[in-house]
Amino acid sequence: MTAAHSQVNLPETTSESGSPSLAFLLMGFALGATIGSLVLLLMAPTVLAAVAHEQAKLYWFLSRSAGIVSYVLLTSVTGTGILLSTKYARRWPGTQLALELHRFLSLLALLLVSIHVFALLGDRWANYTLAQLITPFAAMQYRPFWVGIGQVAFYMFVILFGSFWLRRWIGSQTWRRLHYFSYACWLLATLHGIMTGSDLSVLVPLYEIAAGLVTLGALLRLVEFFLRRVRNMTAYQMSVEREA
Amino acid sequence: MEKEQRPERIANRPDRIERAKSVRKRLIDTAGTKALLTLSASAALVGSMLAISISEYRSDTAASAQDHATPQTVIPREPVFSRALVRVPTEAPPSPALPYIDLAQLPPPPTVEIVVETAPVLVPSLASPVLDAAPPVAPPSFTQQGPAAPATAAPPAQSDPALQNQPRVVLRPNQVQKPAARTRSSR
Repeated sequence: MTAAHSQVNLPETTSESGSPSLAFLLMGFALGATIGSLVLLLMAPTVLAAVAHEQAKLYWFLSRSAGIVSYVLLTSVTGTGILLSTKYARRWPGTQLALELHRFLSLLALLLVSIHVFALLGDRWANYTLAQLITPFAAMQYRPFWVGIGQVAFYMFVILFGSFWLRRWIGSQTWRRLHYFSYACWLLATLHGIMTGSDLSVLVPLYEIAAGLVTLGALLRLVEFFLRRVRNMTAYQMSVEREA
Repeated sequence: MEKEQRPERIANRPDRIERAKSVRKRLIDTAGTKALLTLSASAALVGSMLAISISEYRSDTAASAQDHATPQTVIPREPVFSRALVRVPTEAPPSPALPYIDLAQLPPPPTVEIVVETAPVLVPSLASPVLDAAPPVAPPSFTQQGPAAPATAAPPAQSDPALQNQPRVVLRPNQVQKPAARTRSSR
């Protein structure tokens, strides 16, 4: 046998750069779509019952889980914001990366909070209307005050998120003053979760950890603020003495 | 700007270019971090939904098993998002306002003898000597114990000792028994 015959001609699975070829990708996609369609057909009655039944709980579960995940993301957004404002982000993970993470986490949090709010439209047990979900303190079905607190926190978050894009027009100082309300936004969201959440018995550790982290971060921010003021005043006095 | 500072600016340019490249690289790296964060958030969403649905299913199953075991009065809660049912104890505490009465200890109710007297029926005489000769026949009187001897004007004597001292109601023809007067307690 010659060397040419001994060679086994395998199809090219990788291109020169090392990524899988288009044929294999398409094959994988087709296989996944086939399996997914079969599973969906088998589960169709269950899925329909979960979605279209008179007492379907799917939307309620979706709202609860989206609320929990959005709270975790909101806490992360607040934490990265504190890291940026205290300049600790320079050490880790870096100012640019921290800023990118802060913006992306806030976008994810906003998306999940929207799911948390508007998934309730599909729940026939609570029977919220769109007007009740949009208007603060208008939902009388369950603890209207604390639900309204959550709605106010949502609108504050929307304003804080949009303020980044409007910074050019509102100015840096106004933007900074507006961003001080982020602490109030986080606090209102925490109170909303504690007073209206159905999973409070399970989520107490989460609230404790989040409250501890944000409180610690806020204290560090305060300490860093006062230290900077003292440093600036000392430098100013030294410069005045040098000139004298 | 002085001339001796210009070479420094030119010399710093490669450093600035390198710094810009490293920032760009870091931004590209953040794309992977962003994808990871998105996947993590989606996985957390799906996982928490599963956990919530499993816990709700378990609580509903336990509640239905308890219902089958002992019948209970279920009072739905006020609008609360936890859809678990409120359980109340099956044995209600005795009400102090109403005393408990043991029916077995009560005396037997009194028996009442009802005597119905009817007027003798006069059979019209026909043109028959046999029928004319027959005396008028009085219908028999019926007492509570059943039809006895032909009735007379007076009700039969109470032979049963158990019926002595018991109240007797005598109904005569053309006599309407007035109903007992209604009192507050009889309502």
